[in-house]
Amino acid sequence: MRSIGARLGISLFVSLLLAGVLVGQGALWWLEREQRRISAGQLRDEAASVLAAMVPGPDGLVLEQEMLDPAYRRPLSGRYFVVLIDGQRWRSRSLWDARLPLPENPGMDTELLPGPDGQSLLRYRTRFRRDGQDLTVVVAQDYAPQQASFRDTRTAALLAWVVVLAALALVQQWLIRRGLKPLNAARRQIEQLRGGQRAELDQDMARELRPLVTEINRLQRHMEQQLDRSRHALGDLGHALKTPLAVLRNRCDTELRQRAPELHVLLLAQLDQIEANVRRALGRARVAAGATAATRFEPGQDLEALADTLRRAHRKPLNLVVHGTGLPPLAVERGDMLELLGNLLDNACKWAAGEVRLTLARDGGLLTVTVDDDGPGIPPSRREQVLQRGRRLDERVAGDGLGLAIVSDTVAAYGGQLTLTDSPLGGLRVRLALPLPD
Amino acid sequence: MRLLLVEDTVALADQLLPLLRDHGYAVDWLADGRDALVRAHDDDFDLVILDLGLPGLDGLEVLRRWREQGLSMPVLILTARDSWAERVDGLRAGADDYLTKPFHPEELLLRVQAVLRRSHGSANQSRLRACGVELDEERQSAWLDQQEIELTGAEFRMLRYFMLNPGRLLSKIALSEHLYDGESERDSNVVEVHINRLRRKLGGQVIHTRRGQGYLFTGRG
Repeated sequence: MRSIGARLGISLFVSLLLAGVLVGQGALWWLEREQRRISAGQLRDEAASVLAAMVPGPDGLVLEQEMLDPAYRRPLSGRYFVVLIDGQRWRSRSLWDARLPLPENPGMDTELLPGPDGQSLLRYRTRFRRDGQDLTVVVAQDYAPQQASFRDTRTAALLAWVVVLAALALVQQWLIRRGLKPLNAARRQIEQLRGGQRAELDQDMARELRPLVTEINRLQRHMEQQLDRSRHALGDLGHALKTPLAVLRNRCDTELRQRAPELHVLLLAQLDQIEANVRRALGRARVAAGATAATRFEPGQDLEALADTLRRAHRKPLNLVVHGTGLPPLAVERGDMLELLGNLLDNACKWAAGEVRLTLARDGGLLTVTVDDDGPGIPPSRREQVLQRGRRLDERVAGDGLGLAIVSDTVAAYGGQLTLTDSPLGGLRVRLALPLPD
Repeated sequence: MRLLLVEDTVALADQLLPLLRDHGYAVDWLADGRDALVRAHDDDFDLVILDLGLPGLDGLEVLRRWREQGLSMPVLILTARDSWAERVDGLRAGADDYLTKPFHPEELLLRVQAVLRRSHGSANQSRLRACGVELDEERQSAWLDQQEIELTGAEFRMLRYFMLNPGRLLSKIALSEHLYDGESERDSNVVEVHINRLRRKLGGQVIHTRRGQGYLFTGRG
């Protein structure tokens, strides 16, 4: 769907254009009609003036030239007359050698007649009776100058109208933008919500938006509660399964190792598998893939504690260095991020000879995590396999190979990327790139 | 070494108690968080193994309150909550180590040993060394001048406690409190008997007696 702003803008502009065209066209039509009406009045007066110039002479009526408007004597002046009397036809000198076709009906002629010298003639025919003689007077006037001025007027009006239209369109755009401001504000707040910078949307919104805002807030709360509940349920399930598993494993170790070595191996393998499945399922279900204001990962608070946890868990001299504790809170859920980092570092510590380095950095809209170690690394040919299966490559080092599987599940949930390369420290470099909401 | 195990799963506790006792620890066992909160004040425990999902009061809350009340004994959390966020929270609450279930019994013993040594300021080596004496906790035997000296369980427990507190004056009561759990009968003569036996095996100058005050481990240096 197109933007509401564009749709409003276009439809308002079209309606403005339509109204403008109709009103303009109507005004022009009315103007022209008025013009013709005035011209008709003038022509009627002209006909009367021609009649007035007919004076009785010795042999009936004669045309007294002196009484006529001088324009009728100037050739092709644009003002002409023809008088029909008793089969005689008198014409104004201004007609010169041109012929003026006479309209058939009395009154104003509806059509403009092309006249001499490119003129456009408006004709008027009338009948009089004078001294017992019938006479017909036809006067004509060049309408071209009026037409020209009319055209000029129309052009000027059109120009003015275009300017007004443009101004109105701008005003409209401004109004639309102003009208849509609450929507933009809501959109920004939703982005902040997604980025974990706020816990809920402001209720203080335009009345039309309030139901939407209320609903989004309700959904947000609902989601958080749901997540919380399922995480708790999972934790409980984990606890419920793991303690019996620990009991079984210990029993197995103490009593079966000597008495039934084969059974011991079988049981341990099965227990390992159950444990691995439980852990992976719990890990996958635990991924929140999104942070709220309360659950954001704060590097300054957690990174050192995490590093400390790892130093304690690995009983060997390890130089575990962390870069990036100065980063501001990130829009990644704390539990997810600690799970990612914990598993990656745990792997690195298992394999490292003595050096592990964690680097967190913000690169535009990406959060990059780099974990380096100085262990044996993974040959390039096997890296793809490790990423795909997240499986254990070497069983000599304690661990379950699940770390990477949980990491790839989490990274996938965030739409991020996981790559394995050579580390400058000599071992493996694991690099994560997670997109952060703006 | 006197340990407190706080674990509500009876089956697991039933396995851990003999395991720990076999390795020379005196262990008291509690299953309820509220009991643990109070009990830690009554006895001077060298280490607490703490489950988190406890009836009565959550283990993490128990730990937080202990630390607020100024109790500083080392605490090892033993729990099924295995997410890294929970581990970080555990250490933040004041735990010294965090072990997740299911676990290998040897792993637990190693962690207990490591936490104990760390809390007494010893480096984490395969053998415990103090004042020219070495102690192999696996084999429960002492080494002097590259010579292995076998010890009985009671002698081993006492020597380990001395070696983790070298140069510190330990009273007879303190010794018996740290070497026997709440159910054992305490007899101050027993302490004296074991000290004499240790002197016979390692040389008389190893443990110094201060009349009326207690004993001092000086080793050979």
